[in-house]
Amino acid sequence: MVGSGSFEAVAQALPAARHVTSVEIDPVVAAAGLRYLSGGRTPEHEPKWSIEIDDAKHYIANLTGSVDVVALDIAGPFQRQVALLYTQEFYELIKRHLRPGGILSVPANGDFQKRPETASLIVTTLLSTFPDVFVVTRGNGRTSFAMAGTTLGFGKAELLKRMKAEGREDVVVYDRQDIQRHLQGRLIRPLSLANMDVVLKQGVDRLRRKFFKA
Amino acid sequence: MNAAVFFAAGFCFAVLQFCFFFLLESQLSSAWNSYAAVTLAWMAGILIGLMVSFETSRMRRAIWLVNLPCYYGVWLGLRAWPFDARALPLYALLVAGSGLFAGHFFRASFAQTKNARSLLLHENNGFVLGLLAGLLGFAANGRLFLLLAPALSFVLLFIFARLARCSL
Repeated sequence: MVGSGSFEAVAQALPAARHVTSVEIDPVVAAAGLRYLSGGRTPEHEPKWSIEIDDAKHYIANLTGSVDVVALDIAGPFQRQVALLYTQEFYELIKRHLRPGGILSVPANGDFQKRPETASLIVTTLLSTFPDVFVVTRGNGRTSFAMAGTTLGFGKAELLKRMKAEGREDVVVYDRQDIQRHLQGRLIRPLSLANMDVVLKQGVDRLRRKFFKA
Repeated sequence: MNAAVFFAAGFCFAVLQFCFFFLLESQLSSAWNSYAAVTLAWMAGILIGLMVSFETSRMRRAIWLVNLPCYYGVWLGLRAWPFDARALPLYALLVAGSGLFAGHFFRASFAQTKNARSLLLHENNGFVLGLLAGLLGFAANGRLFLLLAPALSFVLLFIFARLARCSL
């Protein structure tokens, strides 16, 4: 689990996992999350959980084994350091350390159904790196996330069935073909070290919103 | 001495620093120790460059010649051993080598002009522009920027210094 925040994602993952490792770059953020945000669901005493204070790129590149799931629980690619965790280069690193059938889960940062720029960029980057990609969105438009892998071993129908069985009736699932159709006509270059203008655009947008309100 | 030389020097130092930071955060780690290593090593290099007098022209030439190889040493090291933190002390040493040139530049420039005000004003303006160029360059094509920008900015500084006939 890359990033810590409120550790809610860890709490969600623990019941189904053999072990969860949180990778957090900043020890103060992790300590604050445990103390103030975990709402009593702190994983501190959970034997199946551990935390590594490290940059995710460095941690994953130096993993000796492989893992079943890598989940990014991080902010959007709006700062250089965070944006590096949405690049093709980082996804390639993850791909090398996923077991066959392993899953990368990435927040799409926006309602993918409305094709916002950041979500489209993230999903396009995943498409350029992984053969299997699904995007899952909620009907209320507030949640979108993507799953990717080299051989996921399940299809859209199975994923939908499983999510509906868990009570998530309003989900919409896009597979690779759906995504390509959905983004047709938009020229999007995947995020990589050779293309990180999203950071600059977001910064300019933020400044414009702050100082030049319409 | 030409104000353009100071300006070009500031630009070159900003581009170099930006590239060191971006190289390490993209190919090694964005953790605090990468930034601390670059900052401390650069400052140590500057201090040494300020304190040591490179009196002969051969020594001064050597200082000029060592600058870019230090940067490309880090660049090559990170390509050869990406995400290997064991090489961080070596990178810090190379960053200090680049900083040494910056320290020497300030010492030699002040010795020639005796005008710290003008030196720092123009160098600082160049530095701000260099930071801006770094931001734009990494956004447009970070990979290419890391490869070319330090060399180009250094060549620019070299040309201005030659045109101004300053014996740095």
